[in-house]
Amino acid sequence: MMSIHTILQAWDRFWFSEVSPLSVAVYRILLGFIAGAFVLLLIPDLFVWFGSRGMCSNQAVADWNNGHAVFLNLFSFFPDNDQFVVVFHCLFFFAAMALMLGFHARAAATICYLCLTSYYHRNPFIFNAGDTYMRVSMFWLIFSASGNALALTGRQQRSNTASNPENSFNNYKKVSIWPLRLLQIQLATVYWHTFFCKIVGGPWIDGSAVFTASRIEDLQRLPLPYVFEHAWTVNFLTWSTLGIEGALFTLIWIKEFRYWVIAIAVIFHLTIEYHMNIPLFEWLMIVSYVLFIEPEHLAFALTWLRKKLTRQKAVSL
Amino acid sequence: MANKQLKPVRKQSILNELLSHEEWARIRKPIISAFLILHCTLNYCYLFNNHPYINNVNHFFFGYYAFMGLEQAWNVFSPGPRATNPHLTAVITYQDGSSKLWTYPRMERLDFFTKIPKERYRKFFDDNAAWNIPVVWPDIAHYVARTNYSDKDNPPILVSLIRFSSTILPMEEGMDKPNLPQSESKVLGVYPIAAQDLAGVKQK
Repeated sequence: MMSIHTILQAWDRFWFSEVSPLSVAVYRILLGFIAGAFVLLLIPDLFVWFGSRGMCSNQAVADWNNGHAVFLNLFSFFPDNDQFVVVFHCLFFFAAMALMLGFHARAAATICYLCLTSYYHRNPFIFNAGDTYMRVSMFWLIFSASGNALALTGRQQRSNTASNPENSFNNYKKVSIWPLRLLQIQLATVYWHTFFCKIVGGPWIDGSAVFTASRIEDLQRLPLPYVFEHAWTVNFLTWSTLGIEGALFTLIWIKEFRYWVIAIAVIFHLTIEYHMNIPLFEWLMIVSYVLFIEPEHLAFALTWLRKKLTRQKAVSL
Repeated sequence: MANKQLKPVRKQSILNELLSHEEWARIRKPIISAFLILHCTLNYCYLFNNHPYINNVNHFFFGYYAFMGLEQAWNVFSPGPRATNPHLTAVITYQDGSSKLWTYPRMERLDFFTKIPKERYRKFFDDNAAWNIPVVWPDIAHYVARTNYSDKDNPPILVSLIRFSSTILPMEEGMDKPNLPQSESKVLGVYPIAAQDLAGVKQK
């Protein structure tokens, strides 16, 4: 029998224990980099999508929403003003860079979230699932202490003041874990939902879904020889997709399986990235796995990387 | 200069002004727990909206959820991948009776690097506008007219939007065959272009 006290203790342990801010800080850097790329990729067609004389007017979006709902959209303050779009886009880029560098990280994450949400509400018809994921993750990132490590500014307190430089990534003052948990749950939710949407039947069960996906012409990037020309490979890839997505919201929570699941998922997303043109989506998913890496392992990897870079620098001098 | 012993400065925030440290410590966990329960529940209800009660929850909170841009759906390629290859074209009719064919940058015709920033066209046209977003069709028609208005004595007067598509053959039939040509067509709309739709356009 389980008592309420035990449940509350488990709740407390899961949401309110303390952890190094390193994982979420590395995630912040990578997400900031991807947000910067997102901004740069939009530049060539900025006015086509958001301009006053573009392909989607404010009125069309209002009609689509039946004119009722009120949305968080900074463009509402300056509707149909192309100069504001430019200023807004520059602001977004600087905020993404600030997020990456950890310059007032929480404020930078807030601005990035406001920009992403405003763009989404200004023209929701051009954004894919990766953009949704970035927007929602940015919201959770606001609550995290991502600026408490690897940042230009912020309270980067060390738990041991006389720190050994060998250990410097390992001794950040611990922070509450709940924002990291939210980000982890968000990632798991993506796979949970997609898994249950696929498992209901049809092409994912009969093993043909990957064949159909491979024949969508506008998604193709580079050809994958052999695999889409044989039924057994198509079946294998279709069912493997279900298996990997299933593992990414279940086994990833179990320490012994975690890194194996992540390794397979990285290969899975890189294969999609090679074959399909969905810019940034696969990279967003890949960088999110850093949220599941133990801070001490990240610290070890960062220390190794720093040593490697320092040695290279010394050799080149 | 003598070393001054600096006192640690505690950051002032609205929270510090409103609550003492002890008060905040007492209510911190219940407040955060309420926030977590609310958002996790909303995510669940929005994603697995399969019961009237869940629908009621969504209905009640949708204003907040949509305002914040937190609505999400991860049904990519489900219940199955899109089984069509579409594209959209526009026929621009000019005042003198001549016409011109327009289409957007189609992914399958672009090189490796160009198609990366142009992917938004795929999402906008192939996934959305070509099918189920009629509210943007007039805007597309006006945009096409404006970008193809090069002679002030011969303005566009009509833009027709046409969707072409083909069905992807099921695996049993299509394994060794190329995709069908995108020859099924449907006229989405014919939009007259007025002088004010072209106002401000600089002719090349």
